[in-house]
Amino acid sequence: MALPVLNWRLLTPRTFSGSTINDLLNMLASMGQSTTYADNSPRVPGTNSAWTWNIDNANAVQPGVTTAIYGVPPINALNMGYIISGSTAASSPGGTYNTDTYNQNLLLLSMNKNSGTYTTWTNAAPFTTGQFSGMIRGTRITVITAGNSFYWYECEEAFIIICVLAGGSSVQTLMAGALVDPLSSAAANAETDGRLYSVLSSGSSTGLSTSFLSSTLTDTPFYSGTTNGDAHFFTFNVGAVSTTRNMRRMAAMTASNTFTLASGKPVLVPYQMNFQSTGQYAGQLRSMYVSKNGTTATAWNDNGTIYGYTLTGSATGSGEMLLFQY
Amino acid sequence: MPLPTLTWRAFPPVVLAANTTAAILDAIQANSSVATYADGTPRQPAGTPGSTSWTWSKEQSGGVTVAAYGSPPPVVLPDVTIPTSYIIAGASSLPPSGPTMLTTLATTPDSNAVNRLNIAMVKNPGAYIGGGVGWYAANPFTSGSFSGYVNLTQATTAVTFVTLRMWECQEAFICQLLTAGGAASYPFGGGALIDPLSTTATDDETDGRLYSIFSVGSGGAMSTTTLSNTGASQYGPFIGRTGANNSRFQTFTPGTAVTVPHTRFGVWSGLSSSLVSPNGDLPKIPFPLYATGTTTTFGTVLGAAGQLRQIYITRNSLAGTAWTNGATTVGYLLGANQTAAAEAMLLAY
Repeated sequence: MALPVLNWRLLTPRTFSGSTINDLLNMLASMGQSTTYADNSPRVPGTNSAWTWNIDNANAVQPGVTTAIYGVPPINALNMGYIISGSTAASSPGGTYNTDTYNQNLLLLSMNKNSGTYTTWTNAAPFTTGQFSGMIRGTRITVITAGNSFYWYECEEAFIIICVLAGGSSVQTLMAGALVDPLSSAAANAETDGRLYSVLSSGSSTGLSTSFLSSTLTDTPFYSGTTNGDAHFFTFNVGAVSTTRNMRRMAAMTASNTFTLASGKPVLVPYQMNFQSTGQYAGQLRSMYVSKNGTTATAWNDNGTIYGYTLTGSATGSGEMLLFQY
Repeated sequence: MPLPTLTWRAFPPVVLAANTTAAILDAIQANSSVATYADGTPRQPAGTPGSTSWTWSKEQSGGVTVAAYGSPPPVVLPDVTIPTSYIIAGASSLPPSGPTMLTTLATTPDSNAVNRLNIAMVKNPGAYIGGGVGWYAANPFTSGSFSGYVNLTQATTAVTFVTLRMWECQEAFICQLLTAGGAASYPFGGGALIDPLSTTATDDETDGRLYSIFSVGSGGAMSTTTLSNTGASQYGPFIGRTGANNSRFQTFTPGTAVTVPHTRFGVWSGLSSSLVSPNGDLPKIPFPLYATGTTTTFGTVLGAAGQLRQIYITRNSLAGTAWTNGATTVGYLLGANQTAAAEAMLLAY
């Protein structure tokens, strides 16, 4: 039985005007706490697709400035908590890391299951209780440059942030939430709420390729590399455990600019994942589909009807595309 | 809006009486009289709601079968479908004229040859001509939109076919010829195999369907890497290529008599015998398709067609296996080989 359809919404895009990772986190917090969407429709955190985000400016590494934002989705049976963090400190401020190591001025991404009260991101248990995934690097250091554009999409159970460097030279992304539908609620296949909880990052080494749906597996964000700064995509193992499993895409899909239905409406091809280590089936992305090629961070609409929003490796031309369904 | 769920059923495998086109056609037609499926369940009469029983007839010339033609069971109101029929035909000698081969392939159309079967379909058929001359008439069904034939497999003089496997559901059928021991597989079939996942008029016929025929083609057997192969020299089901003797997968363009090739979308990876859900269940991965026009590894094609109906990408398996979960049949595996697990598709029960 498939999980509920998700409804992706776009927060008002922002152009970064600061100079530090703390400035960037403040800007992201401002976006995440917005009361309207990009289309001026109302946004009430904790309802519909709207997440609730808070600021952590009490961490000892940089007291009094923002070093993390942490958020929860509006549908949250397992009390998931997600953290985007980072600091200017040259040496690691501590904390639990997954595959990557800390590096100053890099966004870090992590998640926690069965969360209690948030403490701070450098604690071994940032949400006091539950299971913490450990942090991974989210994006390249180049995102902390004035003029870069940020696009934030959210739905009832997941979020996606896309950063387009000024001039469109690179596209980077991080995602988190119940992104994958295991298409089964069997105890070994899914958490007790039928979900799999995941984080994804394009990593701190490179941006998205325009052929990121068909290029070499290790060159896509739908794969978990083992080298520091690689792209990552993993999910919690099910149950009250903090261990995670890496995932990878199951098909190289080369579309084109004309890959639509005969009527011109969008094609929605489910995108399948399996587990890297065992080869077992993981599931398919939720309300995110392979579709015609396009430009990143755009809305695909037909006479005012929005079909969804796009992630591609190109901010200026055309590239292989995922569509997040509106 | 997805189309109704199809339920695939398997006939008991049939050992061919001889390795001839006539014996293959006889075996296909004879299944029309089978009362019980391979799992022991009864084959419901075609008029029964939900029936999966196709009706097959045969045409003979001088007492030798030259064609088998079939239709799906009528769909119960209100979900009325367009009448369609499917024909498999060929002989040990060339007819005096015809048959009508499909000529709209982008490059090299198939040709009729002795001892080699062909497959075609028709929308809104009239009366079947028969009499030993019907199969090679311009339209064997007198009227309606006739697709023209594509080659089914290699000739019986080139391959020794031993066994026929056959599956049917409410709106489609699939056959598979196998060599001794099931070492090589030659699948073909037809019907409303594709769900266009759209109700827009230009995306599908007036009944919401797309009607197709497919064959492994006359160039070779089904590849053991039928899903992961990049396509340059591949043979298999649901691969619509346009070169000489290639695999075929032709679908009527809605509202017309013209067919276009379709093919699978994606070069799949991670396919192995380990591809099960963590609890051991068989995954049922939707099988996406292209229609003609866009450039892919298979050639030039155009847009999307949708996905196969209750035919899923799954773990590598032995051809012809029934997958059960306890006493519950999950489906049947369409694969390349009966003795070594290879890339396969699940026909959901």
